Amino acid sequence: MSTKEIRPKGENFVWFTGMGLALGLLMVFALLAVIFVNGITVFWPKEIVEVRLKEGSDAEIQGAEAFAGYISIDRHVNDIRPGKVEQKRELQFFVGNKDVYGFMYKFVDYDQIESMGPTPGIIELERLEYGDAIGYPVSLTLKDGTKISVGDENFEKEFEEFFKAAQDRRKEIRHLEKKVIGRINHKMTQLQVKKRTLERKHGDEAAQAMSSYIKYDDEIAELQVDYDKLAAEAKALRQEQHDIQFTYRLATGQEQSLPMGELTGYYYPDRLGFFGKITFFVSHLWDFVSENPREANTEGGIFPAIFGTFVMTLLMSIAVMPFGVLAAIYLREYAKQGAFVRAIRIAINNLAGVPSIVYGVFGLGFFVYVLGGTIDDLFFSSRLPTPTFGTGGILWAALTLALMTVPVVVVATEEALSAVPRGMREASLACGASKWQTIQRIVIPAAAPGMLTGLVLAMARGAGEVAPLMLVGVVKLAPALPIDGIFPYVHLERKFMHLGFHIYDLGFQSPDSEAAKPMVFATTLLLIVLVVLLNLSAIIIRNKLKKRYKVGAF
Amino acid sequence: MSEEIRKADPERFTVGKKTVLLDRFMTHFIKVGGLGIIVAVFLIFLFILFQIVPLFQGAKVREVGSLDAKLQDGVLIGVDEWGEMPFVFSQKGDLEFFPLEIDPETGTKKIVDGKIQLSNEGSRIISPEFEGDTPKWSAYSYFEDARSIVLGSEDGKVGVIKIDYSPEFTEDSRKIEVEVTTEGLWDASSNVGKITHIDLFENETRRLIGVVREDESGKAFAEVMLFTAKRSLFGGSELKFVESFSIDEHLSGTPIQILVGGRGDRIMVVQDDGNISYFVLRGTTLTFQQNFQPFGGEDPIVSSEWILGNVSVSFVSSRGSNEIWSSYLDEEVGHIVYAKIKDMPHFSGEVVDQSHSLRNRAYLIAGENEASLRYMTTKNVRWHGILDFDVTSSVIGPKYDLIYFFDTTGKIHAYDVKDPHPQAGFRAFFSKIWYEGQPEPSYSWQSTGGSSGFEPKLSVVPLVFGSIKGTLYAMLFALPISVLAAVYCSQFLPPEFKKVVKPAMEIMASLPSVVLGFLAALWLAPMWDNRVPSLLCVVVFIPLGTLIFGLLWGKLPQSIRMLVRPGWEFLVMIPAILFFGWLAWQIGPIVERMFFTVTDPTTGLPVADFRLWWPEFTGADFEQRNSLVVGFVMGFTVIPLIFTISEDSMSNVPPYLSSASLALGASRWQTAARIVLPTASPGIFSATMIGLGRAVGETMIVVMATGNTPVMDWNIFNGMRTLAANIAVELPEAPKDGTLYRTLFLGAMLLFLMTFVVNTAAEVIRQRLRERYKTV
Repeated sequence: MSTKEIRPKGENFVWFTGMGLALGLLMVFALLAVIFVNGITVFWPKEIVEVRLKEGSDAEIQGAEAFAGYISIDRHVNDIRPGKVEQKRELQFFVGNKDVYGFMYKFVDYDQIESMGPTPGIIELERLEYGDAIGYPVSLTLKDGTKISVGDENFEKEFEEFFKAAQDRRKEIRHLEKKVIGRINHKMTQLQVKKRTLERKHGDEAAQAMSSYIKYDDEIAELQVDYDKLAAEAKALRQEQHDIQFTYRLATGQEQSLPMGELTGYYYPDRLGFFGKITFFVSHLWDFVSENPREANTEGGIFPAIFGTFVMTLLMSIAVMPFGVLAAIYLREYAKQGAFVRAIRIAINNLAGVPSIVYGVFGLGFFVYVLGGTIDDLFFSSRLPTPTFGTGGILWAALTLALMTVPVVVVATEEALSAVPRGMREASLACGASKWQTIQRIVIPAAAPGMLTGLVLAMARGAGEVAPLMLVGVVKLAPALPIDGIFPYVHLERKFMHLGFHIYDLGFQSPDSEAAKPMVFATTLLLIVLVVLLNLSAIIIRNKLKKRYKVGAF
Repeated sequence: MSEEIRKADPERFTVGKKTVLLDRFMTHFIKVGGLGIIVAVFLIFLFILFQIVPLFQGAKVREVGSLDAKLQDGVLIGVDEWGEMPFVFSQKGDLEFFPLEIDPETGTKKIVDGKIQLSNEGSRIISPEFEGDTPKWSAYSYFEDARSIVLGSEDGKVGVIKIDYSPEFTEDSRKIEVEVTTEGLWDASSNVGKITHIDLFENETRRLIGVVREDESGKAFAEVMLFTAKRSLFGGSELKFVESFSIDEHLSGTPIQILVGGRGDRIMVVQDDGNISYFVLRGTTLTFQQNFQPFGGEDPIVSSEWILGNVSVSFVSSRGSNEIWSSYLDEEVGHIVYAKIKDMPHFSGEVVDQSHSLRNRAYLIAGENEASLRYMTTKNVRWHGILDFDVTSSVIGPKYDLIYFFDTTGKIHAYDVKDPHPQAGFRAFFSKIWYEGQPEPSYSWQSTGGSSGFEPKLSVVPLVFGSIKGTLYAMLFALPISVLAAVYCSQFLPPEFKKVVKPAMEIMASLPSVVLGFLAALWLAPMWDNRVPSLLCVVVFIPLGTLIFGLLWGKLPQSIRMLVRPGWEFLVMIPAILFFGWLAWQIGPIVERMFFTVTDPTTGLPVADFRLWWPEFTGADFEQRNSLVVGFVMGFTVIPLIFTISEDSMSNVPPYLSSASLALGASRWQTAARIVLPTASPGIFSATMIGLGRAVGETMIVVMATGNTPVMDWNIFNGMRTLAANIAVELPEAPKDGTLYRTLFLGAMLLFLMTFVVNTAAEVIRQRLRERYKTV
């Protein structure tokens, strides 16, 4: 009898199960990688090439057989022209100059391209409108008509200076219009509301005869004078923004000119060194997180969305924490443990599994219409029929999400409470502490990290949730932030922007979803980083907690 | 030292008053607060329930006033669009208007003690005059849509009375002014005879009058008169008589009634043998379309009435049967045909009048001392009333808030109707309904439409179906992966890996669904769109490849096999999967060229494209945003849930069970498959349920990654509309407390119940399992 090697049975199935795990992990990391790569490259300067098409190609732009742009997609697709069963390679170029071409992206079949070459001296212009322009600089035309052409040695210096001056002027205009005039406007509206309140109370004629009414009128007139002066100032500045024109030539041949005031940034793609690219990257990233959106949200930054998400999550945390902890302490410490409490526990656990949209429906029906409508009737009747609280707003959104995340906090807090060793409580009670003292000084401090885990998980869920928010107050573009410098500083009734909704809106409601894609990826990256960080910290706190009790349990 | 026993100071054992008070307070505070919060959270359920209850309630109808009319021989009753000035029309051709008292505060009908203020003091009698002598009227009909009365005389003359109401705003109130104008008389046709039945259709550009007349010998004829108007530049338009058509062909019996409707192009002749002939008038050609017989032709038709939209007709027979006939485009016949779409509940009285609502598809049958308010779409009897008078004529107020009856003793009765949701009801939401214009009953969801005559379709069945479809495709993909991963993670993975792998999978659960939806719709869907064959290859290659790889690996000598330590297999699998995936991706186009080629119809040349092949081969459509994409991406939300819970339940299988198995010589796979899996199977089942619950309620992924069309088929290459997505899409636009608003709340309730039941079941199973582990 030969000694035959015994092989364990079913090893191939072990491999098979291994595939399951490997697939799962691959999915997570591939997804994160896709978001990361796509999101981060948005801010990285691209290499611009000049594309020459083959003669008679149908891909020409406005009759020109050459154009400049960078490759945004390179892929193989089915060739659906009859008779062509092979796949074909096609490239998508970002060509910019939407004002001239009418589009920003263009697909070209690879076999239509004659050559792709470098573009020395080309400039990419970031504009207030129509997105980027790509072209070769030609000249600057000053107000008095003098021209500085690109050949002049101080062209670039002058250009830089004019650009900076225009930037400063734009800041001034914004300051004037948003801050100063905004404040006057606010005061005027307030006075108008006061007037209207008087009119409602005493009737039109009686009110108009009252001294306070006349005082309001005078104040309004005074404000109006200020307003007119400032408005004229702003108008003059705006006029100045158009004084200097910059002329550039597109790769397709047309010459275009742009007022310096329309320019928000520029760079020479072929001249950027590595550090130039890093600077470019950092400055664009900073603009992205600190600026307001422009051009139907497809350009500019997402600061209001970041801020809105932050404030909403904060409000939600303030609302959810005391309630969740209170309910958990009741369930774990005070309620008589039995079938009833067990049933409640199961039910609460299940509430965490109820779809978020259901909470949104409740939020709309109860918070917005019932609560908000009542508040409006009681306190804001002078503004009706325009609702104040009777429409979606940041407060209702925060409360809705708080309701949604209460189960998360309750479950986590309960877990933490039950993990506090019995011995610690008994020791405290044996020392003569009352029940509340024991809870307050022994149990809660010991369970605090666990509660924190719950809160962090709740925040992560709240920050990433969109569906219920769509019903209770998120908007694509909020005119004002929920917290600002105008009394009462925190405006709970205001609508707000949210990172998650921003993604939805940009990707699906935007008129040019292709142009919005880079912004969506960047926003997505930001949201993912936020949510993943929150979750990771929750996981880390939880793991630390487990260790602590392993040692601490005696 | 004295012998005195030092007694402990009793103060030492008393607790500070403050502490006791605080403790007591906190006890109560926490009990009340904690319980309160829990109750409050569950009140969500009650609140939503409270919102949907009105959907299932019938109409509340009560009498709010009555009054004697001065005109004694009244035959018709009608009302203005505010319901504030009803009128009675008498056989002689006179009209009496009854202005209601208006409350200056509210600007609407004044109500005292629940009664509206009807009085005949302010009533006004108008006798409209026609050119020439006013003839003796023998037939009349009120067309409520245009507020016109059409009249037919004994000597074959036809006239129209138009009633124009207009509001007049004075300082503090609104008054309704009325103006009565007449048109006619026209001779219906050359052969004069008594008009026995007449019907009118009228809009701005077209008027159609249907006439049934009898000549002296008692022979009946049907004919139609057409009037058209050309809209002038100045907006004024006048209807001019164009032509009259006599209908004698295709009739099997003697005409007794005629109905004109549609958009002024449909004509139906009701005959004494129960047969109805349906004609269409296009331009100036009258075409016969169809003969049909309500009630099987056995029971004579006594009353027929258009329903809102002038497409469907309600017929009532002499025995009180009530049928609705409506039209649809028959593809085979090539034109529009009528079919019986509803058998309505029986009406017990002898029917004298029907009238329809101008707001919705409700209509009223009145006869003797009974009235029945019905809703066509849902076959619901909204209200059935026994009256203490016999009805001559009835009208439903244009806002569907009032009913006026005129009785045989010359009295007007006003009834208030409170029926905010006539379209709703159990049948509307859950059963197959034959809607107007459709060839067969169906479940459909279409809540809003363009025109005012639109029939809302509120079946939630396609939405539930969509939810289930999305869930199933997600589970199809997620279940195998997550369970396999859980088995590997719990049984074969060394603890130091587990510490990293579990949190990594949990991170997957935290990905916001809006991010997944965005990636699915704007990145994955376009990428997969022309790569379906590659995907098919991936689905086949990866599992098959792995199995073959595992088999071959097992055949290798031990020395090589020892290179991969137990528990490290999954690391080897990562490059293997990447390789198989890449291979499949490359082979896809070749497969496509071999199997999924269609012939271009114009050139006859082959085109290799799955997107064209699928519809041609299966007849089902292909969309870029389809269930495949949704299923895959929803997997991201479901996999971590199932993975975590089933991994836990397998890890918690008492270790002595597996130790015993291993000690008896079973391999690690045998132990896992035969000991651990069966023991933990309830846990895996419960994990699956929780995964189901999560997928059912997923909103953003579905909203973004499907076309959101409420279709009902299992085609993997088209989309669906789920309950959750439907709420997200429609609720922001739904007016508060409207039928749609409440129906969406019903959807939320269904979602709530579905997930709650599934999750509770899963939780109970898990708890049982925990008990079992204790006893095993």
